[in-house]
This record gives sequence, C-alpha cells and structure tokens, in this order.
Amino acid sequence: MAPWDLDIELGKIFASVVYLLIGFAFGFILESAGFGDSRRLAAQFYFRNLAVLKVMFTAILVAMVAIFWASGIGWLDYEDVWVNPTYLWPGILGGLIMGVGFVFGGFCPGTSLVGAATLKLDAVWFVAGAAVGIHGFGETVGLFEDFWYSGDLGRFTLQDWLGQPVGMVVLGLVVIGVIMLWAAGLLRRWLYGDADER
Amino acid sequence: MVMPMSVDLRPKIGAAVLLLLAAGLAWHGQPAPEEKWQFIAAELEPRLTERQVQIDPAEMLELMYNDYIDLRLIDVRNERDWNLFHLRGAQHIPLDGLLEYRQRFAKLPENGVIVFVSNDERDATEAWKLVMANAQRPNAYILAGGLNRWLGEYAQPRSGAKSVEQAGEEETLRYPMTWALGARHPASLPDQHAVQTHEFTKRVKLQKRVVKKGGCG
Repeated sequence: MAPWDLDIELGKIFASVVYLLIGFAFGFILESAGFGDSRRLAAQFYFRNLAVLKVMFTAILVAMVAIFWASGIGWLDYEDVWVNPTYLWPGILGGLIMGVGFVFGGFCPGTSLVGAATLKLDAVWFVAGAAVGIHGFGETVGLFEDFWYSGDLGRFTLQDWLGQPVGMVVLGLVVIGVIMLWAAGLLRRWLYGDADER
Repeated sequence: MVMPMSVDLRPKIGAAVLLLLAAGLAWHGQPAPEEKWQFIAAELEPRLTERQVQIDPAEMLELMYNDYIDLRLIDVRNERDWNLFHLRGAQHIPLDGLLEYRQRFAKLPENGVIVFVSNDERDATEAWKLVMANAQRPNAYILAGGLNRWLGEYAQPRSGAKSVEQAGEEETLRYPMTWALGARHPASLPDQHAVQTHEFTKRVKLQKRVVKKGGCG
C-alpha cells in the first residue's frame, strides 16, 4: 500500500532518479503552463489571465479526488501522507505575507525557481531575495518562537473542521471549484471582453 | 454531415468527469478505521502470527526501568479492571476511544515505544491492529499473555492478588483482587532485582524515524 518509502524500496540511487524524473515532469508542466512568467502570474490577480488559476485548481481538485479514491479502495494509506501541521496564527500571517509578495514580486517561491531555470532576471532576483529572507528568518525565529508555534492544531484538515465525511467534503470542494473556475471565466470576459489572455 | 464545433467542449467534459468521480467518492466513502486493517493485513499479519510484536513480561519489566525508553503503556481494558489493577505509568484508553489519540501515537519520538495491554492478548491485539492501520504505524507492541500472565509471574500471595489463576473467560481478569489498588498494587511495578527472571527473546527495536515533509512554496 502506498505511500512507499522509495529510499528503502529502490535504494537511494534509483530513488534519486525517480525524484529527478518527478521534479523534471513537475517543472516541465509548470513552465508549459506559463508559471515561469511573472507577468502572466501577476495577471491572475487582475482576472486578465486565468491560466494559473485554472491549472493550479484543476491540479488540486484532480489530485484530491485521486488521493481519496485511492485511499477509499485501499491503495493509499492517507494517514501516512504528509500533511503540514496547522499553526493557525502564523499561518494566517504567513499567507498574507506570501500573497502580498506574490502580487508585488509576480512569483511564489516555487514558480520563482521555474522562472530562474530559464534565467529570467526577475525570477533570479526573486530567488535571491527569498534566500536572504529565509536566512534572516532562520536567524531570528527564536525571537518570536511563541508566536511561531501558536494556534497548533496538528494535522488538521477540512473534514476535521467540518466534521463531515471525506467524500462529501471532496464533492463540495469540486462543485465549488468548478463553479469558481466558470465564474472567473465569466468575470474575465466581462472585464476584458474576448481579448486573448495575456 | 459533421457540424463544426465552435465551442471547446473539453473543459466541460473534464469538469463533468471530475464531478462524477467526486459524486462516486461521496457514495463510496472511506473505509471505517476497523476496515483499514484488511488493506495492510497481508503485510503486518505475519508479525502477529510469528509473534514478533508480543513482548515477554520480563522484557516489559526491563522497559519499565529503562530510562532511555519513552514507554507508553496503553491499557485498553474496561474501567472496572483498570481500577482493580494496572501497571504503573499506564494510561487508560479503552478500545473505542483509542483513535482520538492517533496524532499522539503518530508523533512518537525515536525512543518511543507503545505497549498495548489487556487482560489477555485479544483486545491488545485489536488495539495494535487499529493503531497500525490508522496512526502511521508507530513502534507498537503487545504484552504477551496480557496482565493475567504478568500477575502470574509477578503477583505475590500477600499482595492482594491470589497467586493462583482462577478459571474464567478470555479477557477477564482471572486473578481476583481483594481491593481496587490500581497502580498501588505491588505487581504494578515489581522490583526488577527482587523477581525471578527467565530467558526471553527481545522483541523491541527502536525505529529510525524517517522525516516526511512536503509541500510547495
């Protein structure tokens, strides 16, 4: 039953090859979808270009349905899938910082690496800034450690919060996601007409 | 004659397929915690049948005195039996409430060892299966022979427990107690150097925790 520990199943060398292939495929898809272009990424916040929204949310919904189907029929041990623990208050603040940084910088940390791979200068500077920020955070986190660990909810997912069966939560999210993608398309057409997404 | 399609139907078809799959998932549901064992039984059942996870009372006593081990004794019996007698340091978590603690089991440190305890082995084995199937497979074991065997080895005649096991059904405490001493019973933590010991095969191995993290920045 998945998830498998590839380091043990295949050995470190072959596991590293698999990681490399997955990383290659991931980067290839992101670059193909235009995630390496900061103008295109930032355009989603003005509803001018919805490619990022469509690709990201479609991927999230498809992965969610696949994960819980696999778990439902016993192919995947969902309890063994890493879920980031929730630290509510720093999570909210971090989300705000990242959102504002995304709008200003045109990248999130992952997409900045995609952009830097094709040597886009803004992405390279963004990565350099992120590296400095990460270092600064690492050196100062001790000063606000209480806040950093505040609102600890552990492994906390939507089904825990809503108290509903997983299948119903997934169905609800897929319905909301499909409606959101459809409505975002309508909004774009209303704002910009049938002009090409750019 | 084939009509030219002016509208790209692929997104609509994709959305419809996704909605159908999600609706199917809502109908199918997820396996109940008790049912999850069947998915991993082929992998883990041999550990039970080959008695790789049942630890001898003598090994358990060693663990109770081992300061390096972060021992979590989980007693899954009913409240009456718990009140009559339990091991020192044990935590009382009946079977039906076990999974409320799954996050704690899953977060066990590298020197953490869980031992499930019941009067015999049946309920402790059920607890072991439940936790292995639902809490990221912690380093968990079962007290071999349960507390009936423990009392048979470590209860003294004048300690409130008769030294002779009484007849009784499985998973009943077959050593009648005069008082409900709980963990004040001398056998709840026998003096390691005062009891007779015997040869046993060590079962407990500390697990190297593989740090699993992920996410996308």
